[in-house]
Amino acid sequence: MEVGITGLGVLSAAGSNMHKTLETFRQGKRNAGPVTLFFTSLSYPVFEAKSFQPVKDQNQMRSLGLCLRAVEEALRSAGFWDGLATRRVGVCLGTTVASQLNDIEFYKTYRDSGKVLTEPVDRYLHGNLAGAVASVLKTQGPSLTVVNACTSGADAIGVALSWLRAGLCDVAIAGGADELNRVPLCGFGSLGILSDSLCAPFDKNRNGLNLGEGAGILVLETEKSSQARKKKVSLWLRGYGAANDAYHLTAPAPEGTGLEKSIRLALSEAGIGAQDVSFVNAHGTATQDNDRVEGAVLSRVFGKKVPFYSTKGFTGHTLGAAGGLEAAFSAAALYEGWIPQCAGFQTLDDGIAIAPTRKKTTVTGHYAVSTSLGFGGNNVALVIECVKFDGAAPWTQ
Amino acid sequence: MDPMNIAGIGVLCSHGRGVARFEQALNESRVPSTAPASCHRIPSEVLEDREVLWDIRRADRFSKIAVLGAYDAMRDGDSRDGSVGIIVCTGLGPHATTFRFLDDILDYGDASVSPTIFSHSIHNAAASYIAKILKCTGPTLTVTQFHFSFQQALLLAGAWMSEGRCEHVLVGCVEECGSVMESIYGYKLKVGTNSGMHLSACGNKSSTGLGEGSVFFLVTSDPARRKYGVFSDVSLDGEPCVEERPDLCIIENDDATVDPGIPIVEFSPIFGHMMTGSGFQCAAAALMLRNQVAYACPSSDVSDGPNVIVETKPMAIREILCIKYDCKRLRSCVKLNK
Repeated sequence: MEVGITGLGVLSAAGSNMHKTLETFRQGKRNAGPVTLFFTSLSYPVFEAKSFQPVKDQNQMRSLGLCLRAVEEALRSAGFWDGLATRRVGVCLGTTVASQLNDIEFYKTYRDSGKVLTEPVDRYLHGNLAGAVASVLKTQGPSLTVVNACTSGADAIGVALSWLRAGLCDVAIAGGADELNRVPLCGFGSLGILSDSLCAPFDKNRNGLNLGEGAGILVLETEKSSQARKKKVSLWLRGYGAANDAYHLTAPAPEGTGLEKSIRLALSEAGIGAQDVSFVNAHGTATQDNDRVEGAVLSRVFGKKVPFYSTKGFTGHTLGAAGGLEAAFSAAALYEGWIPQCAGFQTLDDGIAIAPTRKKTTVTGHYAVSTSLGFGGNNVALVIECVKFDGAAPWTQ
Repeated sequence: MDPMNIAGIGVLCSHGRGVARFEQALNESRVPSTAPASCHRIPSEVLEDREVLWDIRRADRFSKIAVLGAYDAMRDGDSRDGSVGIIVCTGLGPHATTFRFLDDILDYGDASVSPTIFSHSIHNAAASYIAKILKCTGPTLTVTQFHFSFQQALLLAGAWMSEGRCEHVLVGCVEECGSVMESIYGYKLKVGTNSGMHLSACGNKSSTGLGEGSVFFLVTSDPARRKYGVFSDVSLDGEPCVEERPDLCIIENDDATVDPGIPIVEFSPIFGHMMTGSGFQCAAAALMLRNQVAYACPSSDVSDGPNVIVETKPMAIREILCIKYDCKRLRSCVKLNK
């Protein structure tokens, strides 16, 4: 069964929608700064989505607010102006922060007095990301929140692909969302993988990642559904490969066996070879381990001729949102025919041997691969195809 | 949905570890003598398996509960297949570990927290350990949804097998008790509102506290490996399942209505309330199908209706429906056949 990508929605420090994000990429702007969203004694630079102002009732459900904003853009670009009520729509979203009751004030009150503050609890119990989005949109179909750490967004897209192929729904809203939050900031700080300067993916002198926040959403649709509403489709989700390293809780397998397996599975599912791929939107967090392993695998699978880059230098690492954002970026880049510079990269690392893009680069061809690696040994690859026709871009202008 | 044959089950709850222990608890309708709103906690000695857990001895309790259930399901299914897919579902995840991490932030400050505690507070740590211990390199997912996590996980397992992504899937659920959640549960039980946490059950709702444990099913498309019956349908709107007349229904809600001629039962008083408790109900269903025995409803109240099973007895069982409603009255239905 063919599954089209009929809508895209993004929100991050790089822009409040796809149009503005592409402009940021063109200009090479990096909108990082100190944490302003909450108090912390840590001084790492972060990528906050400054353009996002939550509506009142989403004030303390920032991940949900980010998600709904991107969902709105994706649905509008898909042409679902009038809602989805009569369709079978699945909602599959990845997150990390929105799955946890990690409200420090709630816990401090409980710890100090034994008192249960009901508002944070109710917020948590009604804030399951996919459930809440399905409730807002009144969808009738499967809904599931994927909590697979940094591959959550990409895995959610893969789950939605399986749903559509299995006939469980005709349309799926898939991707991920995560807010910048004090708890993971402290956690990543404790792991020693946060950079105290702007991140430099794949660079010889990289010294860690910057956290970010955002949401990236794809509207996926069966060909039958898009044909029925006379929607022309230029972007297609062709393959999803997922594999576990079965190696370590926090470190990738040194040889990158899981990542390589996931890429080859996705290519096989798409029915293409590595030589057919125009570019790779890499995970590229700018940590020592990730970039060394990922660079080696990309070199092994694609050789030196397929351009690759990471967008983490523009968005920071948005955790559960990253896979959704980067799938959307890959789709837009295929459609536009250019990929951005790998922001932050300057010096080739001899241990990686291949270099990402140093500047905005024109690309030709029809296929892109987006990779995601995650805590827990997860590896995901998505294959997207673009068959362009004359008409408006599949995102709102 | 293509049928999913149940080749192996691993189960861990307050009654101990293994299918035999669970079966014994069902057979005896054994309800632990816990006070209302307390937790059906797994005895600590149950989690002491040096052989299985040695490589993850520093893991948190949530992960150990998950790994033992998953390990047992694979062994029960006589499988060492490294390409098996893994789907772990949970309602609350490793929340006790999350609160330990918050302790660190409050006690020592943002810059002095434990990386070990942080890494275990992430929802998919348990699935990662399962993959490592079982050497499984297939797709590994952790999913959460407060009402129908297990049902959604089964649907996905079926989709994976249908599209050839996996031949076998290890699908299960995990929950852990923690003091904060016990307090929240106690509060919610007291106010009794439409809280988002399922508090009601067939039988005596006030005597059933929170539960913890894990249950995993090794499911396969190969009917020759069927050991406990088959998941033949999963629906989230109730439509496909209600057309047929099952031999028995497992109903997870007090106020559910079924044909008065169909025997009903519910087992949460045995293992406690869990957001993903449907997995345990399905394990009980699978055992009833294998053993051709209808287990009595523990703590059942005769006022619940004449069709409540009050006595464990042999019964010809071909089909069981496991039905659950969420707080908005949406209905899920898992159909198991012999």
